[in-house]
Amino acid sequence: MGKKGAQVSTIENLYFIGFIFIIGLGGLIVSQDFSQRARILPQIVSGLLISLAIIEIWNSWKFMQKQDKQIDKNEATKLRINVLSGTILAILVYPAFLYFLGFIVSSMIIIAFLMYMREIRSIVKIGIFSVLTPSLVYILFNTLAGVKLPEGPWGF
Amino acid sequence: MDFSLWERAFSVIVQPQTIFWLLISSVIGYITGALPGMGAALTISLLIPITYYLDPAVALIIMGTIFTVCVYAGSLSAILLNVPGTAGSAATCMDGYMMAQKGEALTALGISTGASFLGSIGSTILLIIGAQILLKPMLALGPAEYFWITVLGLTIIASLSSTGLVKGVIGACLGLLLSFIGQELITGTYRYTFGTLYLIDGIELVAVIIGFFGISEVISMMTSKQTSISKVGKLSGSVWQGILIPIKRLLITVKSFIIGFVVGVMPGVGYSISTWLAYDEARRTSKEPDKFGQGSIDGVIAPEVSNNATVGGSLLPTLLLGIPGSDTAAVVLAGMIAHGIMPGPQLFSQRADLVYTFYLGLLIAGFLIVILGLAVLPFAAKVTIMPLGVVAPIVLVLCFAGALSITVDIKDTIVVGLIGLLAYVMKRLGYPIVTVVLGFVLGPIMEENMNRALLSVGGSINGLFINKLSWVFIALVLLSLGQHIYRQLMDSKKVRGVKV
Repeated sequence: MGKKGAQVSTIENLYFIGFIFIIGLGGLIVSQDFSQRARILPQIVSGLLISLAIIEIWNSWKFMQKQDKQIDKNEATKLRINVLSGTILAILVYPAFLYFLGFIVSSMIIIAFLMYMREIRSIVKIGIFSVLTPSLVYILFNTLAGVKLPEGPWGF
Repeated sequence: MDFSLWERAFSVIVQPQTIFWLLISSVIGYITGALPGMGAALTISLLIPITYYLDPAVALIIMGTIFTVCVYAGSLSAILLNVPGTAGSAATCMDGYMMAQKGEALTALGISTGASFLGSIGSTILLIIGAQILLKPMLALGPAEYFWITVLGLTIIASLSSTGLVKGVIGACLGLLLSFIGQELITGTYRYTFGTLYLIDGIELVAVIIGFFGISEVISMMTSKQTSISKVGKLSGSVWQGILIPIKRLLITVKSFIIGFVVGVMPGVGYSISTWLAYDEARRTSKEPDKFGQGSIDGVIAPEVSNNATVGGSLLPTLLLGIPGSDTAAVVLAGMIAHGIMPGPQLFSQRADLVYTFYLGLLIAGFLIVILGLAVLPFAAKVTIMPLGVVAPIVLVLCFAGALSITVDIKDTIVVGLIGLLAYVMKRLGYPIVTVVLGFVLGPIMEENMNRALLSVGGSINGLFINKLSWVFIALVLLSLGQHIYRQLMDSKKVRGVKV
């Protein structure tokens, strides 16, 4: 990673550390309501998390001072932002699909969508993998492991 | 040693029905071990009702075979997909997956096969002949010692982080906080449940493992510029070559074996810790510690020998005292009791034939690891040269199916998805996600033992320091932290020296 890439990463790290700080603070505040014995470790861990977050903010701040102030905006695009957004969207909507459409149909849709996102354009390939994989996994879990995967309105 | 007992055990094993179940259970163990979220405990518990109709000896063989093969097969998905099939394979991801990325998946899988074989056979032999010697000192450990062992486990893993101790400890703390969600067992207090019923039982370990390793890997695969897991796009080496490597590197194999077995004997600790301790020991004593995390052979041998050695170790207190050494051993114990087999010293005097049949079954399961490995792995390794656009969606579906296998509650898949997103961000920023998982695993063990230690002296903090043996572990914790800080100081001095 170059200097500018490191700068972007440091800013991202600062956001994340802010999140960690809030988690630690929240953990500490909420733990006040626990019984005395139940709050010992949560309070120690939350306190440690806050302290470490402060140290990490200091480390990142020091690191940023050494770097250029300019941020290369192209750096962000290196992440393949469209694919990343599509994948995150798929992960977030998959549970809803499972609930309404059942395991097989929702998995077919998700596989086809993700394959398309990764620039696989062959209809045959997409068709084969999106039909075969959920069917095999369904049979494997239902019959072998006895795990009843969600069924859609069609009964599978 | 009574050889007539071995003869009787052998006569049971050669029965067609026994051979049939031995093969079936090894295949089931292989598949479920490789599937993220399944694991030995779940598989055995699902098969216990089927074994009701079988002879108790056959039932024991089925449970032992699944336990052994499942623990080994967890490395298959760990090496090929960076998704550990079981918690005991998480450490294997570190170097196994890196080897797969270099096109050395076959060798890595072979190493895992050879190491698991040695760990399995060795631990069974030790279980048979000399383990009683180890049992006494293990029972001398009290809750305070166990508390410090968990702290030691966490500090070791945090110090393994190549991006610094602070990031490692932040990960461990995050894992601990996640483990506190739900009802606290001693006081019954609801912690961090925010009034929701779903969180009362806490977050499932399987959800955490799948989210942190599986989902985050799917996102990485999707956004990667590579076309396949293997950066070179082809496979080199062979399974057979890999199988022989743990034998050639005997010192690391023996050390990892001892760690795995001894930790296995400690009730309730299991391979979640033993694999990491073995990994750290291998790295600490290696001539090339920098290669760890970059595809080191020793980094695959250590956890793989250790996790299968833990199987035999954890069965020792299960058989002798009825105290399970791990969660899977607890399920085996439940299965034994369901068949009317009561563990304890009387089992060895009254039903020694069953014990010896069980031993023989475990030994055969060890050989089945190699047979299955040679038969299946050359084909399985091809996953690493398949296009990522095909592999990533399949892994995502497997992850969600694994998450659903916990309670068949769709909320579990939401948790898995959110954890996966958090893990991806952490990975991208250089936070070691393994420390989060280990913090989550060790949190309940740490808290339970801390509370027990405090209660033993009327709630005083002195309970954690009162035993002399505790100080040995405290010293090890300090040593582990000190060693890491010293190494960092030396590294920064070197950098300054170069700049000057």
